[in-house]
Amino acid sequence: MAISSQSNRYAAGPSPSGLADVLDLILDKGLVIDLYVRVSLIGIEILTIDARIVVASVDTYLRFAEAVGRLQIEDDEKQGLPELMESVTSGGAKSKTSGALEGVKEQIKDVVSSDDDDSSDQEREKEPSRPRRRRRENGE
Amino acid sequence: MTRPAGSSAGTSTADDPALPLYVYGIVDAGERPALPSGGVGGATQVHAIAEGPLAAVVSALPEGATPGRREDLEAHERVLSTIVAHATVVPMRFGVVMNDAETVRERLLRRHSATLQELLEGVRGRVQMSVKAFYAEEAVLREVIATHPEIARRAAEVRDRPDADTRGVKLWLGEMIAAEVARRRDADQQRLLDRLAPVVDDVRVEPPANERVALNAQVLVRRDGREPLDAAVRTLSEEEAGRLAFRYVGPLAPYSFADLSLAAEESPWA
Repeated sequence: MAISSQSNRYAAGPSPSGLADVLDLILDKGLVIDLYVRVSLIGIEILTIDARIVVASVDTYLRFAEAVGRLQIEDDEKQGLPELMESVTSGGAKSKTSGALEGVKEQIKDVVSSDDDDSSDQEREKEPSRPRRRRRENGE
Repeated sequence: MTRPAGSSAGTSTADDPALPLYVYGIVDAGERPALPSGGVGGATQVHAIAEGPLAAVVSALPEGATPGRREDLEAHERVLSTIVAHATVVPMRFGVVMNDAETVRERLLRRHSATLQELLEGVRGRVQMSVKAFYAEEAVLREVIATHPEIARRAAEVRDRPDADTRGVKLWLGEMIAAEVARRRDADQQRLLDRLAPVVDDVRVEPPANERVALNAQVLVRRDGREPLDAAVRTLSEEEAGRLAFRYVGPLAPYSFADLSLAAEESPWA
């Protein structure tokens, strides 16, 4: 996912344009004559819409949360804090994490609907009542 | 591959007059820009139609052709890149087709003569360069972690738990992270633009197309005076290596500086 620094590779100057580099420009910028653009052509509107990507999306948020979670676990491993790693990935009892996360929970519980069992906020109530499981189907 | 527009300007007799014309851009009638031979819709000849001080670069659109394929987009870009390598051009957006040469003269070149000359003056001797910077995502997320360790710990806690249980928390965390990335993007954009501004004539900053984009700046610069910009981008890319990857592309026709919609019918004052 990360772009390596090696991609800064044009010490000799700019790159010639590829279609991907200019697609948004030739579809979205430049001079237009109102009537003629839309009368004669089919498919242009679709191309224009496809060229735009929504930045802030649910998918982005979920991906960010996952990526940061991974990084944090890596960092904790490097810092010699295996407890957190173990508790998250082992399917172990919740009590293993509660100490380490107590402070965090305090900080955020006013803002977010916590998923801790001792929280009885609205989001929890909407979900089926069942034992909290820590499944591992995501391949650890 | 290229040939001079030559004397065909103003006397475009090569085309079947019944065919509509695909329009690439506007040049000075006095210019004789080199033009590639292949055009949109499989056209074999690209030429200029002159009217007064202006000329439109066009090609006949073969019968039944409906521009929109990849080759058509490439042909549009190729024609304009070829022109802008040596001449001043106001590019059309992809997809402008007019009925015939007389329509091009009357409804484009004559009716909008003043506007078009003004646009040409604004980009005379200049080309557009695209300067984009992309985040190395891990680097910027590590900055977020460093700023907000509590977000990171929370994200690690819920990471491998089923979405059904944690979706709300993950969304909240992700939104917090995205907001922090956006704050960094605002600061990064300003910092990069401050460095580019002294070496360009004009700049258009486009909104990021996705969350990895730190900057999408389209800049206008003299065709024969681009070295300071080249150097500035090179320096930035060295300074930011590992955090930002730059994509520096051009020279392009000045699409972002001819972003205007002309009225097709009315404008009696033009």
